[in-house]
Amino acid sequence: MTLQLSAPLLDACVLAVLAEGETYGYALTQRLQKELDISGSTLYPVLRRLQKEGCLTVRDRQYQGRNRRYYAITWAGSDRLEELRGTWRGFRGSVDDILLGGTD
Amino acid sequence: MDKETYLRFLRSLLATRLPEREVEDIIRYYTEYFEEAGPEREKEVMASLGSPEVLAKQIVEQRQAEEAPAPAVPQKRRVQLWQILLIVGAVIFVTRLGVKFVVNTVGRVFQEAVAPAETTVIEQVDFVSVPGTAGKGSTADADDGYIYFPDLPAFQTVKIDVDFADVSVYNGSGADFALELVNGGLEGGDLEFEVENGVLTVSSTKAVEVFPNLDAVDRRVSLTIPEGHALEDVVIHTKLGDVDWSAVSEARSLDLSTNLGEVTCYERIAAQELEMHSDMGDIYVSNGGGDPSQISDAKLTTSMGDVSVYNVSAGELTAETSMGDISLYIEQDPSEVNYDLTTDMGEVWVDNDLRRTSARQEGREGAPSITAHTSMGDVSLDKYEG
Repeated sequence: MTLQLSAPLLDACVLAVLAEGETYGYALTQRLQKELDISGSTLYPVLRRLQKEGCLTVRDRQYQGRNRRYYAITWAGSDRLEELRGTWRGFRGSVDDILLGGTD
Repeated sequence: MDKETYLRFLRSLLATRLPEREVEDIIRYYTEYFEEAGPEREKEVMASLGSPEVLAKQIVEQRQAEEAPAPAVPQKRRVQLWQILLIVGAVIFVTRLGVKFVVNTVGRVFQEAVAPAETTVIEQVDFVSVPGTAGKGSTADADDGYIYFPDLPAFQTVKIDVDFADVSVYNGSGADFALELVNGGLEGGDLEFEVENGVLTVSSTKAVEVFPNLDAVDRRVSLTIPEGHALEDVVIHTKLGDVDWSAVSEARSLDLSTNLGEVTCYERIAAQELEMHSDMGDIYVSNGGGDPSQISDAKLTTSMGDVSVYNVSAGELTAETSMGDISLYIEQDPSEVNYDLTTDMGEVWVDNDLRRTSARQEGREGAPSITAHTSMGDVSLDKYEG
């Protein structure tokens, strides 16, 4: 079985990839699909919401005669990412304690 | 089915359920997605997305979950009794605004927040646009309280004054002016607009319900203007809700305010005068890099929130808050500008350097002038580094 990512964790993963540099929708999906079980339709609402919340900005660029929409992280997005990283560390620690605590 | 058929299907499924500009945005995203994957992976992409019906359903449900009251209403709006009491106490205790503020703002919000105890059935807003006469309209004209006008006559002046709604302004994909008004979950209290002689006016009528259930209310004014459109004077005020001006635009003056909510700007703007005010929420100005926003005279004030400014070139900039922090990242190096930064109880930082409770620099002729004051928070002034 696989565990589902919650919305904030998915936000965190998207922001973490964007923190490495701006990228476009398809590449972002491919990058996350390498590690996670997500579908092609997972990211559109996430990107739209993060944009609405000011965590990322979009910029259209021409590439081989067609348009490519690039997403870049903003200051607010970096702040959110840091906050989510902190939350994740705490959460991971707690789950580790419960699940793996007595096994070593 | 090839990708053209797939996308055409998707578009027609969404067309009756979402506003046009959102449908365009969605189709744009998936067209690009198909193109990036290449013709050889078309089938694979379709399998991953699911059928157009499944995808459309998923998109609409997601959007409704986002917009629908209970889970998606920003926390600020779901004010709990104890939070209000705490804030009222704090305001009386620390600010000179004291009594007037409590009576005018918190008093009303308090009334509104004490919603009926029984659970109200939440009615989903049905996303069907109702055609109307261009130039004038009201949510009273639509059974579901939703109206959308895709091509309004052009205007240069904007006057929006509503009692209870989020107001947002974006750029559309083309040269069109569009307006979306949503009145969900509040009986009466319709949103109305008119465009006449280059002036757009949006107002609200008094609600029938005196104590609406805030969780069930979804009220919005969404305005679309062409990118770079030059405006004269803009005044937007809402009593309860957020104001977001995220349109690349020019204006002689922009005056954006709310009593309870935040005031934000996420795009590059050019304005001679910019005023942003909130009693309880944050003020946020940023355009995510690139050329800075150009503002001759900016006044950013809030009583309880933070003021954050990124990538702005201002002639004069004044920022004030009682309880929050002020963070200013400007185009110029702080050593080149005049500034007067003070706090009563916090710290003042200039260029990452702690200056205790005040910092002043004068006499740089023709240089920007930055004034910031907070009672309880910190102030920082830095050069914006992108």
